[in-house]
Amino acid sequence: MSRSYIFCEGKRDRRFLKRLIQEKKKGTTIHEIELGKLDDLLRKERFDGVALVECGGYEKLLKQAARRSRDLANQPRALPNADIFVVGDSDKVSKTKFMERLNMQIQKLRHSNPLLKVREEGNECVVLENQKEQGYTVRVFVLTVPNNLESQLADSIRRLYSSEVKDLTDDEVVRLYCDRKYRCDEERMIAEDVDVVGPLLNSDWAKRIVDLLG
Amino acid sequence: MSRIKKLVIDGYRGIDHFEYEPNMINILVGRNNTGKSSILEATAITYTAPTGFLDKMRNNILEKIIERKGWENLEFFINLNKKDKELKMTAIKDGLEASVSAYYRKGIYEEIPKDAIDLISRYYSNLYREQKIFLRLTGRSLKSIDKSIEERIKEKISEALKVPLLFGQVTPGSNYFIALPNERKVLTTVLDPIDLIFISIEKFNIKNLYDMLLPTVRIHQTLDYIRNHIPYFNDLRSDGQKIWIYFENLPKPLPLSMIGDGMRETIRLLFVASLIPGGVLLLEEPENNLHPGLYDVVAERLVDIVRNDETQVFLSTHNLEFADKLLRYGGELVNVVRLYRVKDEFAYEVLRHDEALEELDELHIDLRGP
Repeated sequence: MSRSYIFCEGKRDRRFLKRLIQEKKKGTTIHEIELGKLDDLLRKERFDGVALVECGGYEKLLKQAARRSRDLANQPRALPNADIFVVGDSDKVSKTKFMERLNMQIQKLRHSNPLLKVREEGNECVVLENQKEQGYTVRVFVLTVPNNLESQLADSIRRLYSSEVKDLTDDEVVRLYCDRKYRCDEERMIAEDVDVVGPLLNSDWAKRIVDLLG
Repeated sequence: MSRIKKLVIDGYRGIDHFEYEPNMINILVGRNNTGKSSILEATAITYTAPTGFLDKMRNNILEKIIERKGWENLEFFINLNKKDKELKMTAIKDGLEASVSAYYRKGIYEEIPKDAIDLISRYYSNLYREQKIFLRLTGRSLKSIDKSIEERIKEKISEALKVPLLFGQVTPGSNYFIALPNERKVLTTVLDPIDLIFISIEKFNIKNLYDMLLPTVRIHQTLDYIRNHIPYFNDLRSDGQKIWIYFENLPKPLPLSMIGDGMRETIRLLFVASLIPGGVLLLEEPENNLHPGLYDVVAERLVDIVRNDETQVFLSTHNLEFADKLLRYGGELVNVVRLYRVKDEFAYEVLRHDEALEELDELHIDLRGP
């Protein structure tokens, strides 16, 4: 598998994506990194597997994913050709919004000759072609979690315990479930839970991420 | 005050094209070989060009820069992608545009303008003038002396023109200059120091800096600043020969050479910063040798001189902590220019202080560029 970068919004998304890759892409090395440490990784000539980057909110996700896509596409030493996944909540992140940010970032970088050519491919993919290094491309997939992961988890819990949680908000539902079953340890819940998190690993949107990871 | 409002660099060393409207403090960041030093050099050359490349310390900036890179490497001062071997740089100061055009030529006598050749001729004539006077005084045949000296000057000019040359023209004034590898000199028509200092071109002698500051009130301001920020520092004095540092709790002053590199560098930086109110200060990696505890002292002072004296600062750094201090103290007076090299392509982006701080602060992003 070529190296991939997955940018996601928050802790919960990161933990979920980690479990998804561990279970569905066995043997893949996962580098969980904070955004601030990403530079160190980008500077390494070689790394295999998936870099999982938590951005801390959708604004930072869009901005930093756009910026990093631009920088990676400008950096052919990041070979083999890199794939970037931008995974956000469908109520806040979209390919159109990502394209806006990407164009903004590309325009900010001033240079004499075009460095990058950008083209859209299908509904979810943006391809950045390096004009200096023929054949070097970076594909960015903008993938969304319907609504958001919290609501997906809450729906999953409601399906099992509808009577107990019917008047609670998504956040309250997730907290309650986590309190009762995992003593507030959400990290363990996402890493181990079979009843609620398990089914989400087989949802269409999760399968799409796994398929694209190749 | 002569603030640079716009800087355009075309074809200097690794820079294809750089166009930038500077702020009062301009921090250049980027990995090695991305063009930080080239931008500082180009700024220094362009700013000093109308007055013969002389900085405040009467250093010929162009000569010093060539010296640093090697006289045999003149060819590489012009971007290798420039087929016409020509570079152009412009600095727009308050109401004045200063431009430098330079060309590299190898053994093509016809392409060197007469004015540039005249500079060489004048240089050698002056060189031989004293000898000529001496010979005349000894009563030897004037005719033969004149003839032999004229021949020697011609010979020297012809030798000078055989080697690769860098020459050009400066506007306003349409003055010519020529870098003469045979003599390791840059010849110009005007020689008039300007309020610019480029630290890195030369490590200025602290005693000289002290002597230059002494007649002004700025020496007291600078020493007060050091006293207020470095508690164990009491005083700095000169006995005419040496600089002595008085530290608290020490029975005797120490000669400057006996104090640590970091402290010495701090004093040097603070003195230099005080020397050119309203001028331009260029610093290449000023954090070198500084103890991290002194970053504050230097950063705060630089912002002070920018605020109070309207001195404009351009600096390159690899130190994010130092950049962070400047961004915090300087606020909207600061821009960060992030330089990239994408294969053989030079690229850059300009971050306002809030954008740069956001990256450093909230995202802990490394600003140095990919």
